[in-house]
Order: sequence, then structure tokens, then C-alpha cells
Amino acid sequence: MDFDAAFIGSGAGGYYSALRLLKHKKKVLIIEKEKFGGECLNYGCIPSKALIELSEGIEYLKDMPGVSLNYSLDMKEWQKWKQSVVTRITGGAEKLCLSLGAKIVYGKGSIKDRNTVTVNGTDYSAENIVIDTGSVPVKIKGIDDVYYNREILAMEKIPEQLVIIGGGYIGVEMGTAFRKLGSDVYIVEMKDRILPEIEEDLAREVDKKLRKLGVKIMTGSRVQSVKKNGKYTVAIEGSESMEADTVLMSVGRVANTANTGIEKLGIQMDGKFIHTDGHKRTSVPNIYAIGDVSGGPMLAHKAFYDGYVAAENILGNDTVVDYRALPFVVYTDPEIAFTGKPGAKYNKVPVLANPRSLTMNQKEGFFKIYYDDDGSITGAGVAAPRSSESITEISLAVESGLSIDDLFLTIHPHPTVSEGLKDASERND
Amino acid sequence: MYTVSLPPIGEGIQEGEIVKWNVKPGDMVKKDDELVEVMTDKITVKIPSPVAGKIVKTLVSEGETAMIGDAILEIDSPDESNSPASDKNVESAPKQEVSISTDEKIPNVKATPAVRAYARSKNVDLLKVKPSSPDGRITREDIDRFTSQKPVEAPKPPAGKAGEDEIITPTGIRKIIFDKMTKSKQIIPHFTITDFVDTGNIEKAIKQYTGKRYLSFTAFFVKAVSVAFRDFPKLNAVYNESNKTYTVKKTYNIGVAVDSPTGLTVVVVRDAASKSIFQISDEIKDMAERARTGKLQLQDVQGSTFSVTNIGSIGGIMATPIINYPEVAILEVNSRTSAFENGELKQGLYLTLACDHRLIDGAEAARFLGRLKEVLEYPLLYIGD
Repeated sequence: MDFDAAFIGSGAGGYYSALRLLKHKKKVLIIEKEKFGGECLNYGCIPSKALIELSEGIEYLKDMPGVSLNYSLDMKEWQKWKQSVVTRITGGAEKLCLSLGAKIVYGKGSIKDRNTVTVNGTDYSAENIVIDTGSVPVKIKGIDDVYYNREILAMEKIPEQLVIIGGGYIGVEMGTAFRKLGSDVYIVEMKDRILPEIEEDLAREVDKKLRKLGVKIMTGSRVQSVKKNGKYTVAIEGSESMEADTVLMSVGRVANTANTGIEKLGIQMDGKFIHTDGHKRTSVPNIYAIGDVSGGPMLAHKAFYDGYVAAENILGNDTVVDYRALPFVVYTDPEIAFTGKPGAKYNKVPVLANPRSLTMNQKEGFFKIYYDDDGSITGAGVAAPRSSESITEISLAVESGLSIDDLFLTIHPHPTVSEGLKDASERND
Repeated sequence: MYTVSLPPIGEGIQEGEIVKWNVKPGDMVKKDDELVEVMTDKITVKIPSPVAGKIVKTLVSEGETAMIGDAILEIDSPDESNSPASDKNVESAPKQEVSISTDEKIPNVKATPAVRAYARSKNVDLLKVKPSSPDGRITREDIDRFTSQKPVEAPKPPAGKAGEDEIITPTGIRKIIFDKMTKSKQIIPHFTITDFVDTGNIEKAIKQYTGKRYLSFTAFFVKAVSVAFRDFPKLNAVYNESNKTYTVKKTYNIGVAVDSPTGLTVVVVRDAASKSIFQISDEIKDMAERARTGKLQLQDVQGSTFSVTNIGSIGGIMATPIINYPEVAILEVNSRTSAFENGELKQGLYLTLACDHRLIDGAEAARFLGRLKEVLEYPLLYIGD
């Protein structure tokens, strides 16, 4: 065999998993059809967080009493800077893989048989194959020529009117950022609330703030058609149609399995995703699938973790996934995050009681910790500044089987946002 | 070039032995023409061609084993680009599920992630480790203590010299039997219990229908267990290794061991409770015949919930059967013999029941066997036709 493992896709899961194998002196082939680093690094997490940070920075000062702000924004310049950040991260990951001995081939990888992958007409044999081909946005028949996540994040001009179809986390994150950067934003959601995949009290905090910022939210609304004639005309069932210069379609993502060759091996699917067992193996035992393509929440850190599990199994260390404390973050205002699962009881304290948040002029949100009758922490939901950072403490608590007493007795620095979690772990009895 | 891989054949089946190629290089095939016969899980299945074209090369020889997904054949086909439909124009968004489940059960114990990884590396089931701390937290030291208490494996006896002796490497069906029997004996703590049953009335019934309708001896035992299960449902269960639970099955799918030219095959009489003794007789006869001629279908051999084996027709007074994993009990029908019962000499046979002692106790097994004896000694009363 030419390689111990061949990766189809160099996204978050793929390159992370490859690195683990390379560090254990395994021979690794990485196949990438576009850009090293995949969706997260090039088009998703990193670019979107850069944009969100920009919008938050501007809004932070604008909202501060006593501050009047005159600023100008050259998006072309900003895009160049953002691209330099992306290049630094993706280039770093690629160089690291190469320096550890990986072979990287650019082209479309396709499985020929259970030990062969074909790229650009050349066959490579590998003991194991890892599919990390990610996901692509769901497209709706008849609605063409609209923006998806990649295009909206590459814009060199802030749109005047932005209609977002889909009130899931991508739509809401983008809506918040562009509103803060000056766009008139409309969010059209079919379900009866935005962020339908997220616990209601967390979503409500975001809904409140979005409305306060002036975002127009239309829930229970279905888009009938989108027509483009210079500007876009968006027709909504039972409502007047809207005009906009930009329409973002974000109604979900679906596994990217087209032309990967998996159909030849008859690999079992779970609907539109590749079925995997706890070892991240597909129905063909030496072929693994990790990250978005294998279903579950489409999160880069889940892909990293999947990649770790697949690598461990390839190394012969029998390892299964354990998603007991998989954190989920929505980079909105307030930032919301949750991990674990609800327990028998919960404590909830408001952000208003957190001194550090008040120094940041942030008053919305709460810290909620779930625990069982014996005090074991089962999860948490946080809507507060930088909740993406503080939620990790609860993931570790769940992973380690800690109790609310353990958390309460851990000295937290003051003043910090994470103190809110300590306060929420105080017993009331 | 289109590469044909061994497709998934059935749940849990990972490999198959190439028994016979029905095509050779140069042959033209149409889509769905039978390409190859593959023996797996005690039956032979025929793999149809996924495309039309000209056979270029077979990649696995007859007698060799291929894993599911292995390339087995190359076809020169104009249809090689049979890729799935483009992802464009997906009509509706898939359901976004935040929670994900896995096949494996993760123990919910108090231990840090590093300690849980340490336990995995030592192949230690955390549920079995006794925590030393009063709050029930398992530490690395607890795992070390647990592993040091494990009995040391006895050294393996040195392998004998090959010399003129024959070395048998289990392959095909023998390999399947090898794996399954090893697993059963290693995992299931068996115990066996034996009772004598007077078969006079069964023989009378068979005689009564001789020349009119076919009635098999084994069918009485298959039907009788399905009657006895009504009072003893736990005997008709399967073990779930992943989460160490048992599923008591409400349908009685009775496996019947059949001696076939390729080895022991267990054919399955589905929902035996709903079938007449004649139907069961016919089914067993039909499946046994097909086992002998290699024409069984996958559904004929999968999904049994309890097994009956009848070695008595060949010889031996008594045998101790091995449970057909993951079932929890098996009934052995031994050779016809005679025995004194209450001072009276009776014609009949010994029945041996082997059970999984983790689920079933001796008393329950004895009562089940007693009930079976009752049913079999007065078959027409309980079984009718």
C-alpha cells in the first residue's frame, strides 16, 4: 500500500486527523479539490468571525454613552486583510502537514475500491480512507442567482438592503453583523421563531436584541419567489414583496457526497449523510467519514473531534465518539452557547448581575446551569458576552462529572464574565 | 472502467467467500446479469451486475474471501459515470438535528476525560471499576488497581510441530462457525439441564398422517417451544452486547440446525406460534432441501430468537449444545432411547436445554423444560394441527 491513510478533503476534520497520524509517523495522503483548510478556514468560521468582530467593534463604541463615532469603512481593504488572515491560517496548516511528510494532491478525489483513491487519473492505494468532504448549502429549486455564505462573506460593499432567507444560526449571525455595519436587514423564517434549533430562552434573547437593533424579523413566513432584475424582488406568501440589493440564502446545508465514489461501494447512508458507527467507520470498515458529511451538528470542532477519533482507530487505539458535551455557539448579540443536556434542575442568573458585563455596557442575557438531583452538572445555556469562551468550562465539568459544588468552589477571577457561571452554580437551598 | 465492489449483503455481514464466477474476461453482460456467487453467513447470494459492459478482469479468485467494499471485478462499461445526481436543486432542507447518537453505549460515570481515555487504552470497562473516592469519582489509580486485580492469562501451550499433520485454517462457513461459537462460549455462561420426554404420542400422530400429510418429528419441538414461551417469555430473548441488555422477543423465530454439505446451517421458522404443525413441517423440509442445494435466501437464516438442534437423528445419547449467540437458550433433541419413569419403561428421548445463566436461573429452566415435556407428551392437546 502507498499510504496508511488517504483523506478526501482537507477541511477541519481532515487536516486535524491527518496531523495526528503524521505525528505518529504514518504515511498520509491528503486530497483537496479547492483550497487547503476547507469550508471553515476559507469560507466559514474564520471569515465570518472576522466580519462579526468588525461589526461588534463598531457597534460597541457606537452604543457606548458619551461616544460619538465618525468612521469610514473600506471593505476592499478589509477583505484584503481578512484574506491575509485566512491565508496565514490555511498556509500554516498546509505547511505543517507537508513538514511532517504528508503528500498533498490537489484535485477531485474519488474512491475506486476500498483501498484505492483516484485523483487526476492517478490511483493511490491506502490501508484506510477518510471521507471529509464537508457540506454544501441547500439550494432551492427555482431560486437562483442569490448569495450563499461564501459570496456574502466576500462582499466588498456593505449591502443597503439585505434579505436573509432562513433564520438559522448562519442567517442570524450574518443579519446581526450586517445590521451593525449599516444594512437594512430582513430575516424571513418559515418556522414560528428564529434559531428554531436552539433552546427557546436563548433564542429569545437574540430575537429581542435583533429587533432593538432594527432588524425586521418575519417568522412563519414562506418565500414564494426571488426575482432579479437589477435589484432583487422577494415575494413572501401573504405579505407584500420586498426589494433588496442582496439576498442571502441560508436554509441549511447538506452532505457533499457527489462523485466521491461511495455509491460504488454501496456505503450505507443516513438520509443524505454518510452513516458511521461510534468509531466513525462507514459500513465499509476501513473507510471512515468525519465532520459534516457524517451528519450531526455541522460544527468545525465536532469535525476536529471526529478526526481525532478516526485517527485513533486507524492507529489501532479502539476509540469511540462521546458527544456528551458538544458545545454549540451562535455568534450573535448576545453571543449564545450551550453544551451538554438539560438535567433535573437548573439555576439561572441574569447578565445584569454580572459586574464585568455591565462594564461592557452589556445587560441582556443569562447564565443557566443544568444539574441532576445529586448535583452533577449536565449542561448549560449561556447568553452573555463571550459565552463562546466561558462555555468550555461547563463542557469540561460535564466531561469530568463535576458537580455544581465543584464549580462554585473553583475560584474565578473577578471581574469576569465567567463569574456568572460560578454564581449560577450556587445552591439555593 | 467500472470497478465492481462487493456490495453490503446483509446486516452485520463483513465478508464473503467467492464461490463461483458466472462470467469470465471477454464476456458481455447486461445490467442485473448474475456475476458471481458469494457465500456469506451460511448462505450463497448471487451478485447482479450494476452496469452493462464487457468483463475485463476478475480481481478475486474462487475460494478467496473478499471484504464488503473490496473491488472484485472490472467491467469496461459506457455507464462508468454513474455518479449520484448533482446536489443542485435540492428541494427541501434536511432536518437539522443537534443531538447525535452513536451505536456504542458510553458509560456515564464520574471521571475526567483523561481518565476515561486511560481506561479505553487499557480496555477497561469503567462501569466495572470501583471508585475509591467517597463521591464516586474514578481515578487513574482506581483503573490501575482494577487491572492489577485481573487474573493473569495462562500462557498458551506451544504449537505442535506441523510435520505431516494437517493444519486447518477455518474459512468460509467454518470461519463463521468458528467465530460465532467462540464468542458464544466466551461471553455466555452456559448451564445445561436435561429431562426425559415420552414421545409415544408424537410418534402416534406422525403415524396417523403417514401417506396423507407430511409431518416432521422436529416440527413438534419447534411448535412446542413456541407454546412454552407463553409462560416463560424470557427464554425467547436476545443479548445486546453494546449496552449489556436483553430484548425479550414477542415473536418466536425458531432456528433449526440443519446439516448441509457446506457445514452447520441454522434455518429460521418465523413466527412459529402463528403456524400450524404442518406448515412448520413443510417449511423446515423446504429450507433443509434448499440448504443442501445452496439455494437459501438471507432471510431464511437470519433473525432467529431461539434454536432447536436435533443431533439425535445421527447418534449419541446426549449432547450439550452451545447457545446460538446472541440468543439466550438452545434446545437439544437427543437420540430416541428408553427410560424408566415412575417404575414404568417408556420410549422417548432426552431433551437438553442450555441457557445463559446471567439471565435465566436453573429453576426457571427446569420449569420451562417441564412445560415442554407436558406439551410434547400430549401434543394434540396443545398443538393441534
